[in-house]
Amino acid sequence: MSVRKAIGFIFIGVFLISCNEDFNPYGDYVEKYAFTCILKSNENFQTATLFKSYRPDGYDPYTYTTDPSIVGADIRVWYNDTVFVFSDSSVTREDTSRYKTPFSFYYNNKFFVGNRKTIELEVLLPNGKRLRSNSLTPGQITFDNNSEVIIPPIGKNIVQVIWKTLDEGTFFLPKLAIRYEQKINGEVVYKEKDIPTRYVTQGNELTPVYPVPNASITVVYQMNAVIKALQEISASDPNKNNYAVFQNLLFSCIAFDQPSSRYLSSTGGNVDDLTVSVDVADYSNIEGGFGLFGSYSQKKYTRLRFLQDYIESFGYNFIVED
Amino acid sequence: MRFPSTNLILFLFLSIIISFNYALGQQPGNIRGFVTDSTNGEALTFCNVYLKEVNTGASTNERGLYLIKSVPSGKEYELTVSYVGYKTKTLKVFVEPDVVTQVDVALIPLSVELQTIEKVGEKIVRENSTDISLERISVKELEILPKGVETDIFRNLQFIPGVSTTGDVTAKYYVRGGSGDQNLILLNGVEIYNPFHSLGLFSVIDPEMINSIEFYKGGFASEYSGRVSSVMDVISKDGNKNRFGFKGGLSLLTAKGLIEGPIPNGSFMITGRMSYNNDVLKKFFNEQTVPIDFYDISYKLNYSSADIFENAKFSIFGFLSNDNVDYNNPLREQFKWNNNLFGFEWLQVYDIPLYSRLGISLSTFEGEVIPNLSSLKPRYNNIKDFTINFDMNVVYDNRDEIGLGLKLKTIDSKFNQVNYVGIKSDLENFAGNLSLYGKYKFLQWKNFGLDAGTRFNITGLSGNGGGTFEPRVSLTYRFIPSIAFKAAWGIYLQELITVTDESEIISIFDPWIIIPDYLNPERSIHYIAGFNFDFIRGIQFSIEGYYKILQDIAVVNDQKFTRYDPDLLAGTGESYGLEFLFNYSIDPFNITTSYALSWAYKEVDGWLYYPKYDARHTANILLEFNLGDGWIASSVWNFSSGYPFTQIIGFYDKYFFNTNSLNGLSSGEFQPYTYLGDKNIGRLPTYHRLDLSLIKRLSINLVNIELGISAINVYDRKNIFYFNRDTGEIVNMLPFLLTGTLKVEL
Repeated sequence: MSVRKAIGFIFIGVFLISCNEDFNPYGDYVEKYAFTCILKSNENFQTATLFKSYRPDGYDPYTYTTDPSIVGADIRVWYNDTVFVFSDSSVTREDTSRYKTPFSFYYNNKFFVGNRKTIELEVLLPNGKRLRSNSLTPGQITFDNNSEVIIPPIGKNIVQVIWKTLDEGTFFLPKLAIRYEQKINGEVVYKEKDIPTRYVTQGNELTPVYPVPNASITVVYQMNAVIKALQEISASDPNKNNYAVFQNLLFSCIAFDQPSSRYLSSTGGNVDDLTVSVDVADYSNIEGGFGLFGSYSQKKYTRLRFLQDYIESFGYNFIVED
Repeated sequence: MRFPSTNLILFLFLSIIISFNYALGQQPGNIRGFVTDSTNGEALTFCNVYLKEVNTGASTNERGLYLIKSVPSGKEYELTVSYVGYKTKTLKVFVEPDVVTQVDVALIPLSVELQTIEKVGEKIVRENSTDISLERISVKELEILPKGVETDIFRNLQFIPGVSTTGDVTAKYYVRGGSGDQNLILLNGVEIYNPFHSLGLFSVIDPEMINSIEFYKGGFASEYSGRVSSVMDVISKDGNKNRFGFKGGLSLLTAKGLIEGPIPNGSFMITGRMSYNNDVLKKFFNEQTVPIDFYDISYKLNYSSADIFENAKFSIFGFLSNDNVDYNNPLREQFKWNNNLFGFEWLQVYDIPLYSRLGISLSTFEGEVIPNLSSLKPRYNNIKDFTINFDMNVVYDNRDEIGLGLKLKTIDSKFNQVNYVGIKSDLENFAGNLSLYGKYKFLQWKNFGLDAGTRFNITGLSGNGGGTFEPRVSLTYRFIPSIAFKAAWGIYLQELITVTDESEIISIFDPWIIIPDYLNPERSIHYIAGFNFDFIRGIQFSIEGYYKILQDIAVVNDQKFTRYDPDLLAGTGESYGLEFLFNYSIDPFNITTSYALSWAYKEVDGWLYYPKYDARHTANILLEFNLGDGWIASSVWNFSSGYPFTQIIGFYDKYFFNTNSLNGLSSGEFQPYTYLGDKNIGRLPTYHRLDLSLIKRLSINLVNIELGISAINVYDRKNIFYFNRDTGEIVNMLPFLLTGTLKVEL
């Protein structure tokens, strides 16, 4: 065979290998388990979920329609030298487009968590596998005296609330709401209206921006956001007299423990459209599985009040509180 | 000081050698001069200058300067200067004792066909040159290769064994297991911090402005500092010293022009390039429209007059590049990057065999992500690098050389970002690195060469960088005329790094920072050895093996979830491999084939994994063929075994906080989430691609025209770029694509 023929065959070979090879992004499957439980300080109904992992036939996980919930697990939480055992239950699923079965969960309604307490978890699955975790509930937060007390503030167009904590690396979720009553068909109904920190213009519309969990120990509300929230209470109702606003606003701040803060941080990401990231960070404090075992505490700030004249300038009644 | 014993030995060695040479110095004659292109006065780098009678010679350096030492005096010699693509010139030279005879030579270019078909950048005459892992690339080589969308020096590095990329969609390159920010890129000796346009698709260095490129894959000498993997040293053109000229070019993406010409006692050159149509970029971005605009401008002004300084050359040069991604939509983010570089250079050749270079430069990089009303967070990076360096080279009568240098670099860095949960990072730093180097080149034996030296960092940019040595040795031993053994060893430090997430295969923002004080400077140790074979004229073959250790490499902490977690973690790395390069160059053919067998590993936080650019086998075949009458055809076939990727094991339903209602877990708060396997344990299918190119060169009156057509991925191989886990989509690299270029020269 001449050299030319050999070269010719090589080129033909190169063209023939242009066919595509099969590509399988999957590795060997090993079943793992996801446990989620965030204990609360403000109520004693604690819930938890337990799922197993799954692999769909293709690459779209939404095509997998078999409920991955695991029932019959033994879930125990140690708190204040007491063991709390969770029971399993289920409720009607809100969205049945994927799983048709009721939504399974575990609960215990006999405890709520305090500040800076150790919590421990052990889950014994029906197949004999165990998941473990532990955490420390968040510390107490205290509100700073420089926080605003009157709305509208004097000489400012912002309302700022500041708090302190001894914890490091924890996230907070503040919430400010107007408490008011509305007469509907002669009946007085209690309502709350959340106040966004600000509004931004998107196209021709104003979109509210609410606080998200973050590490900041202060929150600032623009006064025009407060004004707009007050206006929205009765936006479609010309009869402002139907509304009565309470003197005290509702400000609460949720403090997450460290694992919950890390979990929030890991799930809050979004990169730009152009960056292509092939791996994703996944935080979990569950030994031997995925998910989260954490807690949060909630503290209310009660000094923030509306001035009567101010509320009445909107045409609303004013409910004085002590 | 980390290596007292090694450095002590090196310093003692240098001291002894220096003393030895002072004692034995003799007084023969010397010949030196500059070799230039007769048509435009551009320096011709790496060309051969040969004295037949004494069978010795030299090659020109990157500025076109050569020096032949220790020529027996009182005789007349035939000095032959040759360079591929130019007519060989022979001159009679009389050498007087203890005098440096200046012989400047202007070579006449040969016909178009010959220039294009032969490989430019001949081997150096010196048989004992210490040049392991060094590749010299000429622009004429770049011109012949299939261009793709745009001629690009970085993309053409991929043909060199030991250099890898992660795909067609990026010009970012990785050398012998090192990460992307470990490659030093110099333009006229000044660092360029963001050398990429369009999210890494192309390099900012327009080939039109280049005179020569030296690329070290490792084992580089003491004069280079600041990076631990490789060095690319680009020297720009001086501009035509004889007449005014203009070049214009057009591709599917850019339009560009070059103006050059003489000025009193010097020359100037200005090039500019700008994008005018980014439709073709859709092929790179999976059919997404990305509104990228970019431009770059380069200029250089040279002045040389004996009235001011004899044998001195002054240059002022600059470089600007700017990229902008603007959707013209207040709801969308905006991205901006720019490099600005300004430099002054004073080259001085003295009457004694000594030459020096003084460089003063300012190089800045600014990158910004402006979120507007999108959900992105602002990011900003600014680097200001002010550098003064002085290098000096003394050549002894016995051909040995001493190199000494001093460098002062100040870095003003600013990096601000807010991550997606609102945690701010503000890293601002101003620091200075004062370093010096000394080296001795033992070249007095024709079959043996040694370059031994060390850098010493008096102060470091980072808290742990001061008082450190970087010793380096490179040697060549030609035990028979056709076979040379070459080896190198060295320690390299790096204190400026990019905060680049390894999992990003296209990254929009690679901010530079000074390595924080809680980490040590990155450090590498290179061990390289190989053979060069030169049995038959026109055939060259080389084998190189390397082993590289990387220590304290800074890796972005992907488990940083709070502001108290460190931004960076210290990792280690290791890479080793064998590289083969074969070249057959006899008119009208040029065939270059290369193959690399390599392994690369990284270890971070106890996890050992393959970095994303680790390919076990890579091979390239480049064929060039001169069809005559101005037609040149070429083809390139690239092959790479699969790159690593992280496999999917399955999915699980993950809880996402509903911040409006934290009262309990409900079904709506769970979404499928990928359950991944061990990092980069899987391998993508093999990559291969064939590109073809056809160039026609013609002259009409005084106008030279070059028309080029390239076919990318001729057999439309579906090379996988990545797998989108969110959509299940397999995203491929470039499909079959036809592109064209036009170049006009007046």
